[in-house]
Amino acid sequence: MKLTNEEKRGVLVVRVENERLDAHIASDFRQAMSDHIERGHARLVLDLVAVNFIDSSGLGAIVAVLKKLGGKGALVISGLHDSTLAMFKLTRMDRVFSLYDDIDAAVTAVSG
Amino acid sequence: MDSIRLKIDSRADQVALAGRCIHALSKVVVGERAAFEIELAACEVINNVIEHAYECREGNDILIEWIHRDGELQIDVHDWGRAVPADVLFSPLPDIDHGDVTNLPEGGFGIGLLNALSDRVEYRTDEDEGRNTLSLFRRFDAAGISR
Repeated sequence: MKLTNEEKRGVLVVRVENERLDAHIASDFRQAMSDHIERGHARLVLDLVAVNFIDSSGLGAIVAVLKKLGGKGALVISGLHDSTLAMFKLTRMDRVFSLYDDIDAAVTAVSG
Repeated sequence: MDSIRLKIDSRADQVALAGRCIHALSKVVVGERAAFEIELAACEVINNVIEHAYECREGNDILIEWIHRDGELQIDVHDWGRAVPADVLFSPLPDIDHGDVTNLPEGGFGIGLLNALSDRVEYRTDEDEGRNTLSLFRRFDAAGISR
């Protein structure tokens, strides 16, 4: 699994560099994101522009990260493609997460 | 009828190989969107086999058959592990209360997605061979338009 991290206007932007966020990497992804939260990052953008496939394990890991925040902060998503957006819509997670076309729009929304 | 068989080991890193093959084959028949949905449904089945039938033990065979006949794609996933209770396999997607983040489900989506993305799902166990088979079916019209 490969994640790249960048801080923009007080927001941690985490980009998943793998093409697939699936059962193979879901556990490592969840742990890495939890580590960020435990280090004090509470406003996060998850950029999925490099991801073209998310399965239920990947989606469950993203939900777990949101729950880890415990309502103190924000986790929003940027860069979904048609296939990954379809996953959020099928599971109705598009109502749970705020979705943005690109990182800048997501950072602006979260930076407050 | 056209068909092809794929065999992978019961490892999470092998699922993508099967998924990409299923996607590429299906895309020719039903187009990109339905191919993605068929890939997702099949990968959920294969993940389920690894986790439940083989209890995450590597070194076990998973045989996948992609079958194309008039107006229908069928994906069969065979395993030689523990049979899954039939009632588990027909669960819908979990309900989401988007205002209640604390109680959002982190799991239980896989089988729901399988059922949502398939026109029909069948499951059978061959007791003599110790083989379980899950078949998912997806219909399409003469123009290749799925549902």
